[in-house]
Amino acid sequence: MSQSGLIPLPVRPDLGFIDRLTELAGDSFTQCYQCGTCSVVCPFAFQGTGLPRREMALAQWGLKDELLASPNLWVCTTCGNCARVCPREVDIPGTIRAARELYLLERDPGRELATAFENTSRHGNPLGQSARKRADWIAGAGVEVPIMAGLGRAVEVLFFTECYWSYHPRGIDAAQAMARIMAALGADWAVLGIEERCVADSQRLAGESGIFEEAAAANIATLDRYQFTRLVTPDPHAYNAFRNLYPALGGSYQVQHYTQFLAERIDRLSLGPVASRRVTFHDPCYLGRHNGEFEAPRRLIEAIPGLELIEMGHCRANGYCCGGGGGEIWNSGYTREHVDERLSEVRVREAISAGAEVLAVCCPFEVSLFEDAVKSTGHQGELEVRDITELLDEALGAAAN
Amino acid sequence: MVGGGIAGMTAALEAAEAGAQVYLVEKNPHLGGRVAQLSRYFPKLCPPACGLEINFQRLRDNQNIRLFTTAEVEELRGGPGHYQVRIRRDPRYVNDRCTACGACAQVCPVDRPNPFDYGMSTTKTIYLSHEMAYPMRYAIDGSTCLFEECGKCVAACPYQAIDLQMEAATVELEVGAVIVATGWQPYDARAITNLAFEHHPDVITNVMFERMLAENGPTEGRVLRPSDGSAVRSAAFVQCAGSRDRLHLAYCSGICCLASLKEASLLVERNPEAQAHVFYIDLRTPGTYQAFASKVIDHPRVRAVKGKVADILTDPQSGQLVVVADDMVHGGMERTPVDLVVLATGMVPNPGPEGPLGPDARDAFGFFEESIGGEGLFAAGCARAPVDVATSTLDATAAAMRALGVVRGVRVEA
Amino acid sequence: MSPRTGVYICSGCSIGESVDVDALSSVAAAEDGVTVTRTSAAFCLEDAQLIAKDAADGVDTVVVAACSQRVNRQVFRLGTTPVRRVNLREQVAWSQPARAEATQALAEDLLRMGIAAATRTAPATPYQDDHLHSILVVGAGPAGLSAAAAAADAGYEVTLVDRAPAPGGFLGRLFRGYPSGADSHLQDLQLESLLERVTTHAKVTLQTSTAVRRVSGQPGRFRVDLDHDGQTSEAEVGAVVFATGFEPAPDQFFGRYGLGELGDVITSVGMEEMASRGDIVRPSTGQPAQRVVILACDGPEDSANLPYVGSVTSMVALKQAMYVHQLRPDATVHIVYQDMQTPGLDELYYRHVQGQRGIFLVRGQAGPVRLQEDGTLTVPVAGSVLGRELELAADLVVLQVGMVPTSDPRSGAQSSLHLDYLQGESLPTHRAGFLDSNFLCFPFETRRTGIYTAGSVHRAQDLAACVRDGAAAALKAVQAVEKSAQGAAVHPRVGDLGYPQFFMQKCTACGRCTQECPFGALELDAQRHPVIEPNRCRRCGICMGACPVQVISFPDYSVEMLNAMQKSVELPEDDDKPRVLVLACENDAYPALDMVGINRLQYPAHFRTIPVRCLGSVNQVVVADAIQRGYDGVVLLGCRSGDNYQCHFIQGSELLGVRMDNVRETLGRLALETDRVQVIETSIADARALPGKLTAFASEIALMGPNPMKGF
Repeated sequence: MSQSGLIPLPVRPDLGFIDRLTELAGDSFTQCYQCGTCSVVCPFAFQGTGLPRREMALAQWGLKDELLASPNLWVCTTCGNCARVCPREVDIPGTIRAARELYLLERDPGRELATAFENTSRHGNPLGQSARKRADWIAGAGVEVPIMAGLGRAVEVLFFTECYWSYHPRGIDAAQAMARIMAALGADWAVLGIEERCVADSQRLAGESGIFEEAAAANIATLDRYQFTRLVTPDPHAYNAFRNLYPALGGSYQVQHYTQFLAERIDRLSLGPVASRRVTFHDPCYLGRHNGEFEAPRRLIEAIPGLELIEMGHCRANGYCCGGGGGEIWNSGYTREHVDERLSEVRVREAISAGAEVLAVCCPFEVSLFEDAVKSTGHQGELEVRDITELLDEALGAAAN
Repeated sequence: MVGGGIAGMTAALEAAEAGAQVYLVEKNPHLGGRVAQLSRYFPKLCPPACGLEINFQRLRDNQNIRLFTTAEVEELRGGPGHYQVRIRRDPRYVNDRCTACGACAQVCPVDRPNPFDYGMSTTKTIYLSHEMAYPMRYAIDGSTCLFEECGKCVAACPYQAIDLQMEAATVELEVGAVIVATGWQPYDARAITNLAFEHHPDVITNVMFERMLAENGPTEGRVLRPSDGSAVRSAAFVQCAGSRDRLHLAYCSGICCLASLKEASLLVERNPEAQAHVFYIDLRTPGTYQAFASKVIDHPRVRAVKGKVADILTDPQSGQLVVVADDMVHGGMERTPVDLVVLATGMVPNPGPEGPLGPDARDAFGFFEESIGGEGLFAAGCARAPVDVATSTLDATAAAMRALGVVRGVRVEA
Repeated sequence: MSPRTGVYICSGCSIGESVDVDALSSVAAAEDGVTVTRTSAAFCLEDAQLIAKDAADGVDTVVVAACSQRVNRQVFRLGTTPVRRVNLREQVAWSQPARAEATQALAEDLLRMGIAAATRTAPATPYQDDHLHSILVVGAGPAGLSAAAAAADAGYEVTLVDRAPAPGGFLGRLFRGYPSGADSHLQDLQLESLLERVTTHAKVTLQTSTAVRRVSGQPGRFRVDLDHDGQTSEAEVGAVVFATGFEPAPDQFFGRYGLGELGDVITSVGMEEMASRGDIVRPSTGQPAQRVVILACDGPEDSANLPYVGSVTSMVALKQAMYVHQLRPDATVHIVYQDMQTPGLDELYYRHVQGQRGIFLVRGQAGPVRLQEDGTLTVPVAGSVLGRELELAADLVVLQVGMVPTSDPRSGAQSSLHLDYLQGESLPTHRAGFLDSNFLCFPFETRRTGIYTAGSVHRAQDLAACVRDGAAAALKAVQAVEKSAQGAAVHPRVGDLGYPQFFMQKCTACGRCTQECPFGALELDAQRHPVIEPNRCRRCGICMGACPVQVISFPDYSVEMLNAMQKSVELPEDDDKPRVLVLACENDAYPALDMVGINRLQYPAHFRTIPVRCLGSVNQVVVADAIQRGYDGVVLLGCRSGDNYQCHFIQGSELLGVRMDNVRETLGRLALETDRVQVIETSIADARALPGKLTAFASEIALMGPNPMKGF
């Protein structure tokens, strides 16, 4: 997306805009020195976007109109690979998020995002499904799934299911597998059921901090009515919010991602050998890079007899994004207009060239994203996409037989 | 004078030639510090050996300088005009009788990695640091020597110059002023994880490349790929590898742009087909170095790109190294396949003893002020700031003047 | 009558395995004047006492045939007794096959050459008549003030002059300084306290409104004519520090930016003045300047004018942006730059300034500034990081102008010491008009001994560096003073007490020595005969090499000595025993030959090496005589000449080149191949290539066949 315009770009800084960006994201963007490190490590590097270096220059120079008109603004997934290596420690994802917020103060979001925002506000989930059906997945789990409201006592684990595991068919597969694993562990747990609302961290990153704060207030009020030792969630985005943002909003809990919870207890599960396959693991940005957890999911995979764990070139802290974060999971039409290849497709190709037969994930966005990408890249049948819970469930089943 | 690199030697010589008595304390068995490990200086592309030779001659003929090698300052007390310095002399295991005839090295059975070549070659455990080593005396690496279990060198030496029982000794000195010129060490490139230093033998650092360019280095000056020994046809110079980076060294190491331009220039001169690509954020060539930089970049086989290399890949099919950078002025993201990647890693000031020269006397990065609190302590060269040879020698001369002022007893200030 | 000579031949370090030391002893004993010959397995150890005892007992001059003259110098130092070293180790035992006939012949010849040299060496009588301990500092800017303070602190009397009515140089025109190190605050320049410290110093005499009209004499006693507002006075000093600073680059360099034409385009100097007045305004209207654009003027087009932009421009631009920020917080500042030159710890200031609200850093090259109808100035910027041309808008444009040293006529304020030297009144300039040294390792190597430059006339450097530079130059001045008092040379032949002597009867008054001396050490008397100013002399011997009638010599180095050394080599008539004379300069070539030996590399045995101080000191008669006597070839081995010359006597190897053309002409007239005489460039780093170069020369000689003059 380079502009070799014949008309010079007028540089007229909007100081007020800079001030408002600073209020929302701090002033680290003022110290970008245009080295280009960020755009090299950005998963979009070779799709001609110039993301995010261009955007930091525009932000820094207060070129509000140029920045808000930049398509890159709505393509970024806030994966944070840029900030990880930025020599000036610029909070690039935070600055992008702040620019989005300021955008939404005066303009409408794209149609896809608008729908997701509205669904979240109205139905408590971005998929637009009925709030009252949030606990329907429990019926097919095959084991008892306690619900907090009906329990009337404290539990060890309050499991925050999140939207995709509650509503999306492939998410429900994982949720139900999780239930079976918890049963096998004899865990003392419960879910919130229909009292749960979308944490909306991705909506926040897409510029809708209002929706996030509203959801947080509601969720904290709900959580505070119950007693539990730890809050466990399968969603790295919810995990990110619970861990890093909720305390300042009044909700301080001991939080774990499900992989962390299970990794601590993996020795208590009887796991039998499953069909022999080479598995590669995709690090979710908001569990791995943003929150430092790379090992727990791998421990789980390695504990399953029959599976060989191999790594992709971009893994761990340098893992490439699946393309779902920052609200992008709801923005794919827009993204496809502006880049040639979706990040999920890039990643699927990477998994296949690493020699994987199974792409293991642990973020609720990813199964659907990657299964789409397997189809769209013409690799159907070559690569299975599985949540780790599904692999563990398979191993539990194998042990039982 | 703490430190015997170019700044330390210069300060010692300049002060001594103005009439002062000087003690020069050097940690290594030889003088010359890091400049002895360079192949050429910028901008003249002249060999460090030339200036070192003159300095060594001046040292040899100067009666006012007493030299301590394999020695470090352990403690410093007192004030201007009357400092007490305790020096620890680590055993060299070779005494003053050594004539550097080399009979010992011929029989020594133990090889050790050669720090002079940054590990790219080995020497015997009894070694001469390099062909121009001053003092021209062998030394034994105590960490690899078999001592009495072996003793072959002792038997081979015609001059009774080897003493395997040598012990560390302490020397107490009273001096009027102290100059610190303890120099620098290269920043550890392994810490810069996105630049693949540990993952591929053809990713090396600028100081390692200097050894490769040096005629007395591991390849005798031939520019070859470490992986297979073939001639380098293309090289990428990755500037700011760890410098200007709050995740590593927040400051700029000052000389790496010029050093890389120099190295690029030597590469294209030595390998007639070779291409050099220099990837930078800002090309730092202040003052009269500007002309040198322009000349290098004008060379048809040298390309300078504004855009930092942030990723180094290995092509899965060909095994070729590929550097990735955003050529932001001219075109955007590019992958450049190269035979060799040279990381321009930065300079970290060497640590020192606790006390007046310890961490409290330094800034957050370990550098000293020119005048280190106390009016009789001065810093020069890279112990003060990441600077080039011309500045180091200027620094050293200025520090010598200030020290002379203290020693002559008249009021002084920096 | 030859002096009594002791010859000491060591067999250590494989010399004894390589040559027959006893046979060498006999050769030595047969030479004129040799009264003692000894051998030892290690003369550097206990047996050194034997030599000392002989010297005490009446040996006048000593020859030590052992390791290279570059090592063990303290061991073989014998007070005033001259010691001549013969290199049997690095240049025989370590680089030739052991026990070969040719190796023995080589050793014998070297020994005879050493003895020939030793018997023509006399102790020097140093010149100690000029020994003033005072120093003149010209220029009372930061560098000059620093030099004066430093020298005074060390106990030297200092006369500090400045032609301006007030001291301080450019410091007085600055509003603030920028910080160094990790500090981020603008610096109060503390000019008053700096001046007070210097002007109240008991050892400093400050004279303002005073210009230097003339300097004559030499280190140890320079005679200086000063002019204070028309009143003349004289001073005598031991050494001079020249610190006359810089002038801002002339306005005409900046025409493309509208300087001089557009009222709201000013220079960085003008900005200092404006900030000192307390507000940032548009000069055209006096109204506040809300939008300031600072151009670093450091792009390729600007470099055409001054090829050394960037020593301070980026830091000054950042500093001046902070002026605007502090004086007018609601204004915006854009800095346009090609490369942000903030090396070292200055990087921290860059980050600090960048983070300030309203200050923007824009990479690119600024084009012509235009005035719009509404009074706004627009600045186009090419080569931006957006891959697209930009246009900035400004109320005020500030141009970073470079610093032109006052040694450069383009400074418009050229200053001079008006040296009353035959070679001219100005200090020779280096590249780009600065009075700099050509050597990184030796930044104060000067072509006018005893005169050292400091500050921004010396190099392109910033304020803190200028202050350090002043102190450093003061030290060099102190050294010059101390050495002059002893009659000893300064760098590089530190401590050498001998200086050129003239056999005037034969002098033809051609003046060539006065022209070729790199240091202007020779003047002419009324008869146009050369007069040496000994303390100016660096003892290189280039004058000796220049003289067409060979009237110049040193007590321990002369054409006669070189000829005698050359003649002491046996020239066999056998065709397969060629002989090549090698004259090797001591700084580079001789050490390179040693390196060859230290690396145990070999080269043909027919080279006979004479160390010389500088190739420029080689008189063409030495080479011509050698060829006419029958040497098959002569190699002049030395350091690189040209723009990036390495010769520490500036032009030795270059002068030699010219002289060798004359020699080749002579060869031509004798119908000898001119390629028998070659200048071969080498360096210490080049040692591994040297055997190849020498072998190639040997092959060329072999093809030419033996010198037909041999045996005549």
